[in-house]
Amino acid sequence: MARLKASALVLVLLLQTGCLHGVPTDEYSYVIDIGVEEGEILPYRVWFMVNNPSGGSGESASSENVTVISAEANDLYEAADTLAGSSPNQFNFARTTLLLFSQELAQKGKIADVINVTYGKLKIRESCRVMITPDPIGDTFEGMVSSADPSMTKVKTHLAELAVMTGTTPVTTLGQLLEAFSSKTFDAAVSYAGVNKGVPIPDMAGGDSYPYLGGALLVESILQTSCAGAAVFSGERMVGILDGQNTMLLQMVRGEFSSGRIQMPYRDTVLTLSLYKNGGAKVRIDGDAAVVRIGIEAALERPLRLPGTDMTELETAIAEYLSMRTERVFSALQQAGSDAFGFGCAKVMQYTDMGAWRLTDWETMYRNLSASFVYKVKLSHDPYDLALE
Amino acid sequence: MNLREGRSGVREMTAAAVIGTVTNGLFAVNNADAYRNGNMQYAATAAAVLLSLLFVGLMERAMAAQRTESLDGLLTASFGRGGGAVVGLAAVAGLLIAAVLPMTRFLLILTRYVFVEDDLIAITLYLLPVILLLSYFGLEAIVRTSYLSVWLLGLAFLGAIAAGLPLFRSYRLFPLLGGSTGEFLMQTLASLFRFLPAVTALLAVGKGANGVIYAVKAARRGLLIGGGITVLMQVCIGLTFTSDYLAQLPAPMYHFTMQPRYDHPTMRVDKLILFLWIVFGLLAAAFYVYAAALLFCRLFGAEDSRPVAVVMSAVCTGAMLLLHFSTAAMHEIVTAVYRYAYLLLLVPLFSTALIAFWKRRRPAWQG
Repeated sequence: MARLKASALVLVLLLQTGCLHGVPTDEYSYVIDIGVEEGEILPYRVWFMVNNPSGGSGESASSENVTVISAEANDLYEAADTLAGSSPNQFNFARTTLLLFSQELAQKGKIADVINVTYGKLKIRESCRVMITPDPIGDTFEGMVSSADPSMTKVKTHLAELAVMTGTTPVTTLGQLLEAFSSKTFDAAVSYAGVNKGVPIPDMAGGDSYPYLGGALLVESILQTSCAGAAVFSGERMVGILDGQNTMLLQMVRGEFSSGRIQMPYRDTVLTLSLYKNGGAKVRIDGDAAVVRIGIEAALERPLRLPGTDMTELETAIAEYLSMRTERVFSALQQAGSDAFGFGCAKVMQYTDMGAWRLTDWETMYRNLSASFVYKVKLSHDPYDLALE
Repeated sequence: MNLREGRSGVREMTAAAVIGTVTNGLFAVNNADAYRNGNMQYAATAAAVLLSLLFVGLMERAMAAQRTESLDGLLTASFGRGGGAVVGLAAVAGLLIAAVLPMTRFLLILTRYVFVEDDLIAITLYLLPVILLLSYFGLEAIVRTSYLSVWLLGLAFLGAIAAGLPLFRSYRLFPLLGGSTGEFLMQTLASLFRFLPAVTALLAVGKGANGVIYAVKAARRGLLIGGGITVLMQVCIGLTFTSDYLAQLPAPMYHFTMQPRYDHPTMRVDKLILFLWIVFGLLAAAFYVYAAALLFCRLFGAEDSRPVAVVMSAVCTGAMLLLHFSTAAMHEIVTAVYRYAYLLLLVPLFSTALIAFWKRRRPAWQG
């Protein structure tokens, strides 16, 4: 009898994982990517890249069962409803991993109006990656799809890994973007993607070298769309773009940098340096002055040897160069009113009263903030005496 | 008499207390109210756990003073048979509300994030049989099932922390402790309702725990372990979301598990973890419903806890549905319940304890 009771209990508990509204996986259309741009008649045109699995696992996709569809609507939910009416299958957003917004929409500060995940009607995860593109969404999607990877699963993983390896583009999730919109502690920096035009474009801060920027790379490649640099925001509005190397400096200050490369002029040559995180960044704000201390490990990549160069002297030169470049990025961001460096995060830590923080006019304080960036560079090998040679 | 008490050890009772405190500690929170002036929830929760521990000590001494083995005996000794029954009704109501609040939160998560296309009543009807059957079978069934599954609770929360870990940022906890001392005090008192139900339930089923000493031991352990997990999880939530954002979220715990990026190995464990939490929610709800039914039976002289447990399970399920009506009046009621429900347990039990000390039984030689 006791066993019977225990079995009954276990059976009832198992019911909790059951389906209430069973739909076979091949009757779902999985929306894997969403794009939003301004519409011609209605406020928005929403694009869905849809995977229709032919049965079994929905993860795999061939070019035949991936389609791109779009609709004009007043918001994302309306677009989903409109498109569902003309689709043989039921839409499922549980596997959506990319949200692509047009630059025009971002500059007008309309992203927050389009999507609100706190009411999870569409089940879109806050962990979705967000990107901004200056080009038509349809063209950008088309440029990201290859026959070997029609659902863009591999390209998205590759881009996330590339971001960590090179630091040239941030990986920003929808949750982080919405947090930046709703709090005044930092402004968002979002990955920038565009259809290649083969013409370099300068960014808002400028630089000494080739600007790595999505859509402006000098490449001939399988994918027509490239991803590099960052779109930076002030509140809900996009206010500028940073190229790949400036994005790397941005990530160093935000403490999100892992590794990357930079070129710097030194005496009568140009050095190529590999940079690695070495202790992260510490921000301190006293009054209207901020000091950021950043630990970086550097390895001389080209040339391998610099005869007659003192290691300490080179470390100081690299630190000064990085500091100068970062100050230039800070100045550009400050002029645009963007706290993409996240100084607000350090500022809020000086408060113990929520009321006082809410009353603080951080926007004005930030515009008057002076910042210095102190890099502590450690060379990983002696350029004068290379042990390997 | 068929009060379904059985006999259970301290470990089983501790498991039920841990599940009860963690479930209510994390899912019986009114987020809009709790985070409106910054994040002080983790500190208020820690303070509420400490106050609950003091309360356990007080009740232990009061019961020792009256030489009684369960809460109904203490109520009767302090207020007499009629008075004890009336005062005890407040505790019964408190226990039932404690069963309803976290389950309502789970229903909200299920309707908004899991079974979006389905009807609320259909989902609720899946929950009713579990609470009903567990509370019908009685204490031993509940606490032994709790003991068998409590290790999964640790796993579910470790999994949740692993999922959220890459996104922790310390600045999100600031302004540190946010609002005023008055606000902290108010939140601490409101948080008491997340821990006192487990204590009350254990005291109500004292005889099934082989006596008040063991019930109190289980309550202390339950509060320390369950309270510790609750505070830890609230710090983790605070490190993941700002207080402004937390105030907008209907289910911060679930959002917390939804955070990992698609390239992170813990992506999509959220539903797995959610259903584990729901299993614990059902166990906690059944524990509170059974304790309420037992207390009611003892105070009003009913001899079978089963029909009372069935009725109370149905009442709780009805209340879960009722709380989903998003009218302005219902919103006011829910806010008031979250803020002041602790009074339903604290006032009667505290006054009972004070009267018990005052009416302390003298040794026979003192007359």
